[in-house]
Amino acid sequence: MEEQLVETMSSDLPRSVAKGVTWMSSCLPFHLADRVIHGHNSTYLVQGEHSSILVDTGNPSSWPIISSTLDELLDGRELTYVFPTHPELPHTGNLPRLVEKYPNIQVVGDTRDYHLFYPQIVPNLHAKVPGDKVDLGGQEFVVVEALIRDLPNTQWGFAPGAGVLFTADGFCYMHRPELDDEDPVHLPGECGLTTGELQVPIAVENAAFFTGSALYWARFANDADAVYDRVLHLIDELGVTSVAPTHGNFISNIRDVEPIIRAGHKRAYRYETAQP
Amino acid sequence: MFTSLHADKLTVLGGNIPLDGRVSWVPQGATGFQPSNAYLLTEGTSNLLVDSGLAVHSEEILDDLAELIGEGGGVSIFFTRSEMDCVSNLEPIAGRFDIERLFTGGVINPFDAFDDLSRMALRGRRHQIDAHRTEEGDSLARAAEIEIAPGRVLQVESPLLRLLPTFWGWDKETGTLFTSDTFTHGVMDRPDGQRIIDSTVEDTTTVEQVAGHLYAKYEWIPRSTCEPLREWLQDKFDTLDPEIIAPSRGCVLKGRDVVRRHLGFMLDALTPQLV
Ligand SMILES: [Fe+2]
Ligand SMILES: [Fe+2]
Ligand SMILES: [Zn+2]
Ligand SMILES: [Zn+2]
Repeated sequence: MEEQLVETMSSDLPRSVAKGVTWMSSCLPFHLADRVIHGHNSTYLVQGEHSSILVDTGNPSSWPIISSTLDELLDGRELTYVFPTHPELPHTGNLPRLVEKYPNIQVVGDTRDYHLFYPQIVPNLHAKVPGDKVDLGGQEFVVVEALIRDLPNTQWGFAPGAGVLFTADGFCYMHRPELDDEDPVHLPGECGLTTGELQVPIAVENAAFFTGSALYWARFANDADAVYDRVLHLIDELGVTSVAPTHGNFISNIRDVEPIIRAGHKRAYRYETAQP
Repeated sequence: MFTSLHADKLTVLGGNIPLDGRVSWVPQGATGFQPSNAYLLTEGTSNLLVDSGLAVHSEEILDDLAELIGEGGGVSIFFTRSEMDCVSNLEPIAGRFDIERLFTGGVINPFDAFDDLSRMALRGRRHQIDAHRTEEGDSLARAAEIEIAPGRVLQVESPLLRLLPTFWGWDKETGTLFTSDTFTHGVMDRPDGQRIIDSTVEDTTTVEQVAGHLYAKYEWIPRSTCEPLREWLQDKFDTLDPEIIAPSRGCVLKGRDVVRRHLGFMLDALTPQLV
């Protein structure tokens, strides 16, 4: 398997997916023996009249393409905010480069630990808690408690004017039954499709496989119903119409997708017989 | 400041993290100082660094490394996890030393954090330690071996007790088990405190403290089926009988009695109804 040096941005993206929300994704191509598969590593730009916020930073290896896409979308304005959902390379790896490019940028979110990883950006860190809002001008961004997470300092975000919930590693899934990588993957040509546009629907076993490896704890905790009931409650409460995960296709039909992810999460639990 | 754990064979280096409410992986309200650890395994002129510490401690880690392996010296690196507390000094180390080999798992290549030129130069030095995946996303039972030098190997295994893709290392030569983000509970009152808990120090660790640190990061433990985790852990320690537990943060636990006592704390913490 020959590794690629630079991640590619699909020509289908960037794509506007809701009012003021642009889906930017770099796709990491994996060259298998008989085919090429892609892994989404998305960032989302939410733009208002006077400010904009970037949700997740993308992987450092896709910086050149992210930087030029931002130039195109911001059209000469500075990026005001960045919201890293949690400190893993695909989500926060470009923070130093963003601060270099936009020295006044405010890094908002659960900023615990970042002073240890990126001491040079300490002046840009602005801690937020769930419920805190950022005003972008005719568009808001609200920090939301992450209900599915891998790290303790993961946060979700919501853009009320657009109805989009940003869920980081939550709701990442693959939809190709024949693919079996640990990361959610898709085929070339599907990079910019929403779940409503996909030809092949998601299979429960794919959701189970992904959940069991990326959300490793699902094999020990038998509480999928409680988790997804809370998620549905949040979706109702906020008025969410679509869900934007970092590593999967943009979810335009959350009501159809949620039961499949929930069933997959349940199936990832390993110790059914051990329970009373 | 580095500390030798085993003459000419194993050294711990790194700084301290002030617990001031800005750290996510410790229990709420935790105070004091938590050591952040990188370990240098040495065999003759060969060196293997286990994790690279925190960027905020970059200068002291690099200076210590220069003293231990010589300015610009060659070193291989093994990352127990691709998380920032383990990897965030990779780039400065690459700038000052010769990274001979890099051992990591998962799909993220840490060299991707570099600019194009260095990435191009370094990519081929990465060794994927979990190249073969099993059907259900397990990475268990495919022990890889990292040869530090002829006759000295670090055995690598993916533990059952983990959060993200994680690898434990076992150095038979020094009896050291590298446990990454578990057994991280040893903290110090003062920044210049004792970063090693051995038989010479009064050990005030409690099971509540061990559980607090474990649950801060592994928040799912209290609501989980833990028997398989306890069984796995007990079996691991029975088989290896380690002399040293070397976590990527928290005090080093040294000496068989200390190791056994802290294993007991951990097994109780993995029985949440006891805590
Ligand atoms: Fe993550
Ligand atoms: Fe991920
Ligand atoms: Zn992620
Ligand atoms: Zn793609």
